[in-house]
Amino acid sequence: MAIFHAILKEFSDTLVGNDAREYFAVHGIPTRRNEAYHFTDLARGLEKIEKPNGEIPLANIDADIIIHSTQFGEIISGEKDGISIIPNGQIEISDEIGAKLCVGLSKSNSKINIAPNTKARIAIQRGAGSRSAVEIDIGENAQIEIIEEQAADGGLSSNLVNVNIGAGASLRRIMIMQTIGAQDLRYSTINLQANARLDLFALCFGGKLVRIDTNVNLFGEGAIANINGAYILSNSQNDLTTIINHHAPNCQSNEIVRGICTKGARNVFQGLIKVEKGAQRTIGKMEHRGIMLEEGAQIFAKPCLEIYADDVECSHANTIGALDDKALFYMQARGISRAKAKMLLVNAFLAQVFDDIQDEKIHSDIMARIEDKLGAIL
Amino acid sequence: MLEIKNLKVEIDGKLITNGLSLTVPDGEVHAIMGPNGAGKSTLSYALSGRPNYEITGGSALLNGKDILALEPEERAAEGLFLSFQYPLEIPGVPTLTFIRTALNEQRKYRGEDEISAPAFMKLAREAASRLKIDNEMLKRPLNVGFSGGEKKRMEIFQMELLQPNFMILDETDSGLDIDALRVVADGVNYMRAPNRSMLVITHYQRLLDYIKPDKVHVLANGKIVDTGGPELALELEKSGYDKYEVAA
Ligand SMILES: Nc1ncnc2c1ncn2[C@@H]1O[C@H](COP(=O)(O)OP(=O)(O)OP(=O)(O)O)[C@@H](O)[C@H]1O
Ligand SMILES: [Mg+2]
Repeated sequence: MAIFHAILKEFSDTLVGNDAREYFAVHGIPTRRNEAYHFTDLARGLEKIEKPNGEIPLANIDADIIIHSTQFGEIISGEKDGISIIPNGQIEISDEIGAKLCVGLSKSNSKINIAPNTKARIAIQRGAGSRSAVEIDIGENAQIEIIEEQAADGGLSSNLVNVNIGAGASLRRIMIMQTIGAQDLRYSTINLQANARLDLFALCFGGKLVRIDTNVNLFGEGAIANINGAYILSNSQNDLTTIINHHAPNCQSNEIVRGICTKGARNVFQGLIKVEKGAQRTIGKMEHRGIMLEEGAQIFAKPCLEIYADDVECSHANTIGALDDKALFYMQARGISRAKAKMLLVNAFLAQVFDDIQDEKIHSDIMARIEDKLGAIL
Repeated sequence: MLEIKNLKVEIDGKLITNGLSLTVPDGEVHAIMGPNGAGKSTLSYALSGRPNYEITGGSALLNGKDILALEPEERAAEGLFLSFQYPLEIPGVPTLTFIRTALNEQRKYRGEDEISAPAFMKLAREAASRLKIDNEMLKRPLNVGFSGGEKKRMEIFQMELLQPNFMILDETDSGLDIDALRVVADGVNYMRAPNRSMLVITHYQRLLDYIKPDKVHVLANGKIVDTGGPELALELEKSGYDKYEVAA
């Protein structure tokens, strides 16, 4: 813990983080007594923080803007009409502990303004020890794609993202998270205005301590949020906590999270759909399915609905099980080895999470990463 | 050719197959009939290598090879095919992808080259049209949401594409309508060849009108208790299994 506080002090140069740092100096890091962290013990997970190593090279990605975030700061390259990037721009911090933590930890903060009707792709690449905060304001009817890749090995990284998706605008956010031996704390607040659309896809390999908070607010009528997550954990930990808040009527949210854990791996899924009083005719769906590949794997799931409107269609489904032994034998009886049979079943199970990615290149890249990872652990 | 000698199989410590002996020479079709719970499916699962089916005695040779020592997938590559009494659903894996993977895995085991996608597609289309299987169905995940009869038809489709040399049909006729029964039987007859043999497990003499067996065996209480020609099936239809149960 001492190390964590030292790290907090070390970067007191970001103005936006000052309040947060003060808060933690007084209250300490949340423990399991805090309900939101009941399944993931932050204080314990942050006891030991190693020096970051393993820098990621700039991937060859086709994007208008590339933000390369490292332990030493951010390098932003590329230009695009309609997009302005303001370093150290003022950003708003919500009162949530996760958001405070991320902003308190951040070494730099920036603000990205995107003009209405802009069409662009932004790539964000994070290396070990990168800690940043960013606020993105997407103008009306813009179509934005953000592709984030995390490849940290060692060290603590953090990331705060606030996004406002303007009326009629859309954001497709793809997150690939490989944290290996490291800690990673992330907090996103994504606000949708009328008829805005969010499609989020996350592929998580977990780490020593990984907590990914996603807070979606459907503020405008007719907004749609689709959240798709997959986790493949082997000797790692991962926590996906999402809150989808329907504030306005006639909005839709659909969340699908699927994953697998091998022995010694641990995943936490906490999903809340909250429908405020005025949010009539809400459609809110949530599904979590976890497969424990071996004894000694751990999957915790806490799906919740909190509904204050009466004309809504909300549901949640949650299953945690093992691979179907009979199906495996059936496949073997056809000549498919047990390892390959597992691979086919798990691959098919996870692939459905990414079915809606239309970009063929990105889709096949994600499928290849899944296959590689499964090949290594099955 | 399949040679089973004095086979004993236990499930969860319970002896089910109790000293079963049976030989099916190349090119022959043998039928097995017998009461519910006699151990017919147990025999097919044990031969296929299902986990927890413990072989506690006897032997089974497929074309002279001890298959009981092999993994299930190796037995398949050696030419064994089981048409399941209850085919499993394979979520998310398209039917054709599944069969092509299986075929290529078998070929790899036998040291053969992979089959090319176009060559495979050609074979699949031919088999599908023979078995009156809709192309749309081949794109769906294998057996997921298929009707009972469709699943059985899909077993024969897989069998035709995998080209095994020993086939066990475990009640493939159960749940089939009259037309489907004929289609499936035609499919099976299409596979008959001098170097291929099969074991047809059924409760109904009717199937044997379509698939003419060389021999009919009665399986009761975990062993073969009677053997005869096709006329034995007709006899059983009339008299039932009472005399075998009493004898046990
Ligand atoms: N896991 C098990 N544990 C104990 N007994 C079992 C188990 N599985 C099967 N059996 C028993 O083995 C016996 C043989 O079952 P099997 O399925 O082989 O019968 P069958 O001849 O195929 O019957 P049917 O004609 O109904 O298909 C039955 O008495 C069954 O209850
Ligand atoms: Mg049976």
